[in-house]
Amino acid sequence: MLRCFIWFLAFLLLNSCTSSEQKVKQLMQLTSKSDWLNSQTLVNCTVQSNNTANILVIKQYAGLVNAGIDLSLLTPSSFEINGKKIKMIVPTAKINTIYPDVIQPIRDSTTEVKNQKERRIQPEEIVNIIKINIDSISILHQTEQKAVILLQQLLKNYGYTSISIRFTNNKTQNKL
Amino acid sequence: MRTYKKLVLWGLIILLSYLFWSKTGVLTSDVTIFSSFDILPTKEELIQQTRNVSTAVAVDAYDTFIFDTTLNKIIVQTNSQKDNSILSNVVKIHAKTSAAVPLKQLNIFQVTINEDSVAVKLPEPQIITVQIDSAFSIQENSLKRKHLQLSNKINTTLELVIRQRILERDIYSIANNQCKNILGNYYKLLGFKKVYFN
Repeated sequence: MLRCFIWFLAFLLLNSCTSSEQKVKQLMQLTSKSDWLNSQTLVNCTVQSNNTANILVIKQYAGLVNAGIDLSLLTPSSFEINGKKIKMIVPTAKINTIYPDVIQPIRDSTTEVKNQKERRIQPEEIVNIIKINIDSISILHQTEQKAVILLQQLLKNYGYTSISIRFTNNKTQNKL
Repeated sequence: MRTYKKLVLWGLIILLSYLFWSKTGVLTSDVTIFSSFDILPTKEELIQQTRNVSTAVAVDAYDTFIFDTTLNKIIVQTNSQKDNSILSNVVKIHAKTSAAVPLKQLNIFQVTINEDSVAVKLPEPQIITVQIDSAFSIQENSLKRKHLQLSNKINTTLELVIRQRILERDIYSIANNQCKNILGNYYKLLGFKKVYFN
């Protein structure tokens, strides 16, 4: 009888491990949608300066900034599940790509000064100027906030009532 | 006596297993944790969930430009000498705008669920907010800059200008694509195999 009891306890232990692993395995399907939490931001930058002739020079650059959270970096250790409670550690948002707007003409006051001489600006130059001038902290913060809304809603749908999402920079973003 | 011991032992086993399974979430999870990947939400539930994530599909636009408050227009081309009298009314504006598909307007007639596929007719995107973050005189040194209080008339003109500028950059199309990407993936994670947007 005692032997039977020990076997039963071992079965329970095994069963609990399997169910927890199963939940994590199911949640890991999030990683297959690695670009799901990407967010686009339009950026219009204006750079003003004075040239040697003391002429006000105004240049405008535009582009589309793609920031997002790379869910492919999630691992089983990113999830801590205890019944209906879940703690999730998500990679921080990062700027993936900056698409320069090369179709729109670059409005550059120096073109007027130089007798309408056309000045061609390389896409790399636009990207560099946007990189310097954008408020990347705001963009990344917005991206993370949006990700929290989506992940919380999804996890709620999966049956979790207590959801804590933390980014890898150790800042707890939200708790339900 | 032996039968009594057996009964107590089995009772203990049942009690332990109940406590163990409820702790691990097998009994208390209302089946949703295990079955949510298989049981699809109803149309009403899907609409509610879509409304809840409406703020997450917005596209932001950060805009800076030089504006002449006397002429009421953007300066994009100037070869004027740096003259204090000319530049005194010229300000640099920083603005933030958001546009999104208004998912809160989604109603029951715009969603069709057929077995494991869902079709959604998305509302037209719209500009949600236009916000002037700061206005500085371009004459002032960056360290001494003070935010300028603009008149209501100038603010109104600026809002129209900002709207026009982001519309020129095709923000509606970007907002539409972002909404489709996020919702499409979200619905698939809910268990729908096929997602269509009209």
